Amino acid sequence: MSVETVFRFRLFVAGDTLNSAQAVQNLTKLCVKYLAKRHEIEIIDVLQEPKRALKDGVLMTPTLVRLQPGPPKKIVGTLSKTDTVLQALGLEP
Amino acid sequence: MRRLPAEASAPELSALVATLADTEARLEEMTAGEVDTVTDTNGRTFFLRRAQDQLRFREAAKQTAILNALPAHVCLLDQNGLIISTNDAWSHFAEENTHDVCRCGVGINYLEICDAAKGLYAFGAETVAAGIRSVLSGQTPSFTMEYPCDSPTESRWFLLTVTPLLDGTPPSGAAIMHVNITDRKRSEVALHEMAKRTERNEKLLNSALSSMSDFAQIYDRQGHVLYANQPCLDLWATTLEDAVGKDFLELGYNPVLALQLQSQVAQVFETGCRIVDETAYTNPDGKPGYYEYILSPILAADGQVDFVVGSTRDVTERKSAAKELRDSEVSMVMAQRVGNFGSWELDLRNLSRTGPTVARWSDEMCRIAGFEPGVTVATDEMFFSMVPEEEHGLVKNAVETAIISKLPLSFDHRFKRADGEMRLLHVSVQVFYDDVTGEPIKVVGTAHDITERKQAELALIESEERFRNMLENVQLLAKTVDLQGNITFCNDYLLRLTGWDRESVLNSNWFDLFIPESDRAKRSSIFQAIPTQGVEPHHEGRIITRSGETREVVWNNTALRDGSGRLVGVACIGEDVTERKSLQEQLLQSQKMESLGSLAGGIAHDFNNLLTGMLGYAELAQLRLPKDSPVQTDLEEIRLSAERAAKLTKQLLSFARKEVVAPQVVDLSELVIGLENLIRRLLGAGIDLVVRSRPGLGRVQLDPSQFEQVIVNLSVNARDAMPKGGTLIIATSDAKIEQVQEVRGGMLQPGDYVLLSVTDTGCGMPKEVQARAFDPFFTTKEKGRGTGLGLSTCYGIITNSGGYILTSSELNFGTTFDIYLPRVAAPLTLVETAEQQIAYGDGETILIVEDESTVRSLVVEILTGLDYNVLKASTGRAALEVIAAYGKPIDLVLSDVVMPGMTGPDLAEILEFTHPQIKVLFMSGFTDTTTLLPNTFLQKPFSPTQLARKVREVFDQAAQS
Repeated sequence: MSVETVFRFRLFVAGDTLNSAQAVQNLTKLCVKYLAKRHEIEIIDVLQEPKRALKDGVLMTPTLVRLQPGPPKKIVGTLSKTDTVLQALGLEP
Repeated sequence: MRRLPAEASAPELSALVATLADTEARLEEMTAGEVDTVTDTNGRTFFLRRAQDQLRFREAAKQTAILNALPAHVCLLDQNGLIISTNDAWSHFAEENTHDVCRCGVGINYLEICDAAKGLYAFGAETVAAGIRSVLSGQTPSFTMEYPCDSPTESRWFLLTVTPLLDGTPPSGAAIMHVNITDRKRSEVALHEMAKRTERNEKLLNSALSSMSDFAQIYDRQGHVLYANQPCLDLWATTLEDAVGKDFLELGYNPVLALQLQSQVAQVFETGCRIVDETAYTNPDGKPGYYEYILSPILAADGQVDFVVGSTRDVTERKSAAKELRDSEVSMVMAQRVGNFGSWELDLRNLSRTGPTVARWSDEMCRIAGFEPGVTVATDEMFFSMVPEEEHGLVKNAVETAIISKLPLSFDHRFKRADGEMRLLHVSVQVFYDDVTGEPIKVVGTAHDITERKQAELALIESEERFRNMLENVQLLAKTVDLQGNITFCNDYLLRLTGWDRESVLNSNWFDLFIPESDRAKRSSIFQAIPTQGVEPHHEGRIITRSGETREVVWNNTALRDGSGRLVGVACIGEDVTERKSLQEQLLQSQKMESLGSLAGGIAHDFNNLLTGMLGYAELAQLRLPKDSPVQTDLEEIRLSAERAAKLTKQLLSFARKEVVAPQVVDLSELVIGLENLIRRLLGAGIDLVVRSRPGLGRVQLDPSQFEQVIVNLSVNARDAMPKGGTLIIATSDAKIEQVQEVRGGMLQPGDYVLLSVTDTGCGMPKEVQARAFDPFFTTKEKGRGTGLGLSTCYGIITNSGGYILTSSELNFGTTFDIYLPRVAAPLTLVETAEQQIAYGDGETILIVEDESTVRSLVVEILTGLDYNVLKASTGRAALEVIAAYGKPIDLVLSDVVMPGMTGPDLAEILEFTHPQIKVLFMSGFTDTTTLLPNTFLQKPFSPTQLARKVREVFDQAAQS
């Protein structure tokens, strides 16, 4: 995977509920550590914009959608198991 | 969807709720408790239990946190005045204050405490209790009270507020807030005191403002006057009481100004920035005056503008001075614009070593630099960034020099304009000094963009240079003279040609210096007439060089005029035609010689025929008479005379270079000795001839008659080189060349040679003459005395014979020509002598073809007498007829070369084809350059002996081969 690849994420959360807040934290940490300067994160609060969740077929929060690279991929949960998340994102540690 | 209470009545509902709860539990299990919400297909979001709990917990925690964060002491009372909740501050306060009134926490009735309060700390407790009751009963919406409540260490003030819980009437309880307002109370006291002080200050300020000459005012947001000082009131002719509250219009300002001021005041209120402006007025005496006014904001503590202070000053005087300055500045700007020069000023006192110093640039300077005037702030750093680095030193040095020398200084430097184009500036700098200290104050420079001018100058210089180069390279003389004939310009070529240096030539008179005296009067008078007659466009004339040599020059002349068209001189371009003219003359001379030669050749041809007759018959007569006959000596004289005449003819032919080359192997010494008498006669009485030759040297192959010419030519040259007499030495010797020597016309190869030296004791030749001595037409002799062909002919003859000629000459001592001729091994060619036996024939048949009857008869007679069978014909055609008619073989045709109609060679060609067995022998007194084999040719005039021998030779050779 070339260094230039930029990862684009969309994270669906529900307000500042516990799991959502954790997911935001975990994702941020992960990006800083493994995808420094090549990631974009968009955080969507489904309480504010429920229609966007529907549009992306997101039925639970927190849900992370990887938009790029490759086909869109969803990961549900707090993203606390870093190894599993990296594997799911195609970023072997 | 909200979770329904578990105790839902309907069993179906209970079942549904149970299912939902299960589902929820399953979901949580599946997602490991990491999911907050689920969404239905309509986009509604449902919180899972954990999230709900969290939210609820967090909401309550938030409220508690807020309450605990408050510095105020807060507690909640129920309807009966029982404390049901307190915040941290309340608990803290309760712990700290040991007195009764505050020993109150959850579960204690606050009203009871108030009611029971007695003594020092019970101040106002009664009122508080009444207030609380009133609020709790719903009679009053709230209750507030400030009261002192000193601690043992300090005096304190508290504010008590009682707020009902707004959930019904009467309320279910009330919140009590208890705030320490000691600081506020203190501030209020201070404020009160300050207000008193301010009043005093105001009075001071008023009197101060009134004593100023400036007009001072204070305005509110609407532009109403709040205050005006006395001078201002005087100006307005009103009192403070009258003025306060009025706006500009009401104060009598003209409407335009009033509106402007009002909007400016509003602007200051809005922006918080002060405004400085001017306004004109008319004095009572009708003169214009100017006010400058400043509107400044007075800011309140919150940063908002409270008031605007106006301060107005009469600046009429300053203004007129400034106007003058500005006028002069404007005219300066105009002047700079028109003159396209910019100026800059550098304040030397502010010159810091660390940062850039602001330099003042005039508008035009900005334009020169490629900036919009007034937009860019120029600094010396910026200036230097625009000067190419290699010229920084130049500029800095110039400024330093100007400072030290105290003199204005000009210099040029390059300057990279803002648009990147490199320009050339001409800068003059002057330093100004402090009158008192003498310290330099500032440098003022003017800059002029001279790029185009410089380019034009360069172009001009270049074109002048090109013109000059052209003048030098075309090898033409160029000069200009003024109307007096004084030389104002001359080119190098003229100097080279004449040998003068420029210093001697410039400003000298042309006619005195360069025109031969004999021509001077004529040329000068033509020149004097130029103003009236005009300039003659071309003329040819002579000039003299420094060494006195005369040169022929063809001049082209142009009048020189100054800017106003006045004639100021003449410009002349001249071509040195001396060599060309002399070449032309030489050509003419040689053409003359050529024609003379042809003429001589023609005569010699006829003459030879005559001589052949004379020689032949004289010899025949001698043969026929007895040897002791007294006529023999007479006949011998006739024969000798005819021989001399034949030699003369031969010389004529040599001179015309029409002779036939007939190389023979000879002994050079014998040749020289044979010529001795002739040369002695040529030299005349004043010159001694010394011949150092002995026979028996190595043999050489050459045409003796040609070589005789070489010796004669060299002798004649030697004679001419010794007009006052001298000695000519002709010597021959064997010579061996060991090493290759470079000589004229090639390399003298090692080998055996015979050397012929001709040495005179004459004037010698200068180097340049030596170099050209063998050039055709080169002569140092007077016109008419030499052809310029003598030495070149010698050179040609010697090189044709495979020899070399070397010259050595010393001025005033003499010249030696050394001629090296290669030695040959072949035996000497037999030269007939008078004593030789007559060679007789053996009855061979010979046909004589000769148009000249005398020669034909002589030859017929001689050959018949020699026992040959002789036939004769007068032309080539006749010869062919004779051959055809004769019937018997003919052995030899003896034919003249030049005949009318068919020539001898033509005849020979035909015979070669028709009768190849017939041998051909030519005889001629003249032939063109055709070189014939020696054994097939008999040179006229010939003696009978020569004829007999030649004919016999032909037959003998034929017999041998």
